[in-house]
Amino acid sequence: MTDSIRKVAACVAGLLFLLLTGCNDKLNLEDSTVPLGLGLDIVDDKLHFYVSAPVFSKEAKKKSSEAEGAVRGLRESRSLLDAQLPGAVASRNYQVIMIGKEMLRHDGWFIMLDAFFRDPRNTTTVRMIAVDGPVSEYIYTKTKDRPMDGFFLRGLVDTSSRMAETVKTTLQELHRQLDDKAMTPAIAEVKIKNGKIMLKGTALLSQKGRYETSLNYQETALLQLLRRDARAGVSLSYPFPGVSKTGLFDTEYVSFSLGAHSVKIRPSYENGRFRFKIKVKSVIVVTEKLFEYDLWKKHKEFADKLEEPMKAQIEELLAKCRQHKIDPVGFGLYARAYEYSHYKEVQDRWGDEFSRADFDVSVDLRIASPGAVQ
Amino acid sequence: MKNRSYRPITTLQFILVISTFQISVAFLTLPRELAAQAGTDGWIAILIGWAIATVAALIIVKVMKYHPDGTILDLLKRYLGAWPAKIAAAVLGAYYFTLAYDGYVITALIIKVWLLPTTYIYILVILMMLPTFQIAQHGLQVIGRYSEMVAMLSIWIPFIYLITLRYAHWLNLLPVLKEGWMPVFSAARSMVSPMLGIALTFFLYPHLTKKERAASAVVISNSFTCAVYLGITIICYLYYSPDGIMEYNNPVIGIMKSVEFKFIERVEIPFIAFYLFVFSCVWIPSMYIVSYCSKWLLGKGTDRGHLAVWCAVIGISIIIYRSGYQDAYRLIRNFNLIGFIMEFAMPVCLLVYLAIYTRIKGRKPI
Repeated sequence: MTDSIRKVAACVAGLLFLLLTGCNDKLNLEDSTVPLGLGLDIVDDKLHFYVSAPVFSKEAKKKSSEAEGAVRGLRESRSLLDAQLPGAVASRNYQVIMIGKEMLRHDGWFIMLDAFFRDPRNTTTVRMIAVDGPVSEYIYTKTKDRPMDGFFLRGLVDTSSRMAETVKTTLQELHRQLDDKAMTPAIAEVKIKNGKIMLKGTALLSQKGRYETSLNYQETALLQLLRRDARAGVSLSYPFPGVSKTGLFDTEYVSFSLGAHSVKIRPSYENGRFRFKIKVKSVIVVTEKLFEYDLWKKHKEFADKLEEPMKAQIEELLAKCRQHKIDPVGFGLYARAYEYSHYKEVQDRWGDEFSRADFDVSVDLRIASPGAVQ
Repeated sequence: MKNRSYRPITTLQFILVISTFQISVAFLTLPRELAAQAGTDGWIAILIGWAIATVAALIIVKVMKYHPDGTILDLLKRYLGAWPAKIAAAVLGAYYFTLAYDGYVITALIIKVWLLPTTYIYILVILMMLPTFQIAQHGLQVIGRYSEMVAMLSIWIPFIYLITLRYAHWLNLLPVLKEGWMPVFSAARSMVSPMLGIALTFFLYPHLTKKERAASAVVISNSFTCAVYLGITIICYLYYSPDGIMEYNNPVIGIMKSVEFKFIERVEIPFIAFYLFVFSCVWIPSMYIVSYCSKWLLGKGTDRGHLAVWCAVIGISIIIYRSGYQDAYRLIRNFNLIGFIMEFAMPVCLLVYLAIYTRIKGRKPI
């Protein structure tokens, strides 16, 4: 009995292995082209896609190949890719997705990336990058010292976001930020200057994904600080109040990096509008000071004075956000957590409500080290 | 009753058989199910589910004390007579058959979507029959050991989930009880199917080496299951915004896509492949119990023979009727009602009956 069952089981198993079809969509690496950068843009009111794939060949002078075309949906781009690139195109390993300025002007462009989520074999840790201009320029810009697109841009975003000069928003993270009614998304932004691709800062998007405004490096650092995503080591520079520049050089500037810091945000609801109390506390290390000041004797006064421009810039950043009715920091999360009844009424138009809110910013800096010289 | 069918299982195995059975299918869908009803307060419903399931499990243990050396079927035969016991065997067999069937379909669907999109569902299910038969044919002792092995193999999974805390928004959980208690109570209803598995005690009890520990063992296994549920649910709520969690069909797997290692880009792939082990902890014991019930009903043949027949039945039925994901998830919802009758209401009625019966007949519980 046992033996016969074993034999039957073995035969069944053998037959099944013949039937196994799970491997028939395999792909050998040498037969494939793996695009690493994807660009999307609107050209003449039509969706255009651009890809850039590395070429692994010693003979080839150009180390990357590009393809582009007009499509209705991303999935449709596959046949166009196969037509333009050698080998089978394995388009599941994008490192970055670049979105053109023109595309960002339209509400709801994000739905065009549906294929990335619907087919779970796609990776969703792709870095999202807004480009300041048409994507075609970025795809075809080549310099000799630059490695292939995808990795270059990914590296740019990853390392800069570590210093809080931009935000590392992956596709999945962007989805999450767009889904959350209590905040609006922010993604990295690059530009071309003198034929070189460089980081511009952060692009702030509306709840529907439309481009609203940009932040430079330092504003991004403050955004990250308020989001509590900034690590110790973030560097800020301000002209010191009461010091004017002498000669050609901007000698009124002082730079410092943040050490251990805390950001407290307290929401409240008064007179029909939200009010947020923001308390930023940090120890700082002075890293550059271009004017005479006795840091040993007057360190307290120095720190107090330094709080002014920092506070002013945070307020400026908040004013900018309110003007555009966007909440990249996520104050809505605080409102939802602590003032739910009021938040619930306005959750579908949080942007408008946010623009009416009041902010109390206070900055408290303490010098941990004046540096190694006087 | 120390004959060939007596295969002892330890207390740890007993705990793990029940817990892995409970966790396997529900783990992937629970956070979403709870969020659909109660938003980010869904985790409170788990505590309610825990309390109810623990009481039900203790009642089951209490029932089994009336006839500690046999399964529920032997007990029913002794106190209710042969025919009611036969009906019970048919009902329990059918119940576990549906549980197993649903387990197979859901496992196959998940593999198809995430790992092998071009492979047919029936081929996947037929492949799953092989380990089922191999393990279930040796009875509960081997199933117990298998559960221990699965638990050990799955130890790494919680650590991956802890990494996702890097992206957590702790404010998502506040305020607690956003909309009051009503949504939480309605979410507690969908806690029935994740707790199914406590009725395994009906069949495991006679095999337990230390029967006096059965009560504490069911409490431990329920607590362990709920701790796992609580962990994954809170992690999901911290990651997904209350508005966004419903956008994902499998938030528990989707959350893994945010994790990125230098050496592996997509952790969810090995995770799903590994998770097959956990899935198997629902179909393997179920199929064993189905074959046990059918053998008991017919009174002839071997466990193994019946098991082979039932494996064939599942394989053939999947080939004939290709169930889609709608069927599988509709079944899960129905389990909330069916399971409540089978594993919560039925033991209570049985206990009441047994108490009255022994009082009238004067027979003391053993």
